[in-house]
Amino acid sequence: MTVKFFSQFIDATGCREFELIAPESIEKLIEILITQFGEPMRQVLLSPAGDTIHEDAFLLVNGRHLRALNGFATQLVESDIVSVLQITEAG
Amino acid sequence: MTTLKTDVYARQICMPEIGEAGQAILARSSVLVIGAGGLGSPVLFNLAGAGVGRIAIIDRDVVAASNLNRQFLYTMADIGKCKAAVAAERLKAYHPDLQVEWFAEVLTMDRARALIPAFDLVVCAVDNLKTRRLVNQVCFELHKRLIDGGILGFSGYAVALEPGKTPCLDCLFGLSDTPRTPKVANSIGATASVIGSIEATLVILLLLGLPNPLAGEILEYHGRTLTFDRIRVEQSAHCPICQSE
Ligand SMILES: [Zn+2]
Repeated sequence: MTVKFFSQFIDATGCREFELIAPESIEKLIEILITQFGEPMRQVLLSPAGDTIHEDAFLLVNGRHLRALNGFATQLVESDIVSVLQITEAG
Repeated sequence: MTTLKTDVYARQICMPEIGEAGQAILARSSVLVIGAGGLGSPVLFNLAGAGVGRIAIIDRDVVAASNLNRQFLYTMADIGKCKAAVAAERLKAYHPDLQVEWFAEVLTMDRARALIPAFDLVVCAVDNLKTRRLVNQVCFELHKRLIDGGILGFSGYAVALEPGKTPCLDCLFGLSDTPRTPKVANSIGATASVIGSIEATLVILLLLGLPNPLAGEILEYHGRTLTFDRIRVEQSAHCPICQSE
């Protein structure tokens, strides 16, 4: 499967795309991303308590918001594309 | 069209996508621009410059020194003045034939429902998700096209939403009522200019009846690598906004 990074996630990872064998869920994917990219990734991806996505970040699985799917429990398959974005809300 | 007006728009009337007919469409068009800050500045200048006939501006803020790195509608002499009023005055000086209205107020749901029907299209150039959510809801209720953009640091996005054809902002961003931590929004004028100019381009394309180049997609801009990318977004199955039209 493919993870695509945008805005500050490009800065945090130094890359735009990351290919991996699909883990079973978004929760597992997040664990893998934090293991792979370390503390800078944890800080921008997860809330300080670590139990939700950071309020300034959002994830789309094949273009569908995680909130419209099954949150952390959303199942993943090999053909999935997960986009990891920052909320850039300033004007 | 008078000679002077023809001269002003000569370099775009000769474009095959515009011509005399397209210029007349722009002159008859009306756009509501919500926010006259970093994004609003290039949006407003570009729409006035293109000859959009009627523009309304909503912004409750006054000009602050910290705005002047990116909000090119204003000068040092404007600090402390009402942004919407100064913006209207500046656009009027730029194009005296422009019909411009301004509102120095917070946009509420009721106000949005009263104002939006009078315009062909709405541009969101605001600095918070709460207002985006409100504008998104009313635009989809009223079947009004909505161009939205946002920036942070060197990054930004733009979307062009068409009720009945594209997902809404709620589908894209999963907007919710959850209060967000207040923070100082950082950015440079160049980022605001890129995204604001893209928003203005989208407005002009849609007003001219040209295809929406971002139908169902988010355009993401990353200034540090000077790259653009697109993400196709699907309508959420139970979206309370665009599934209940
Ligand atoms: Zn929606």
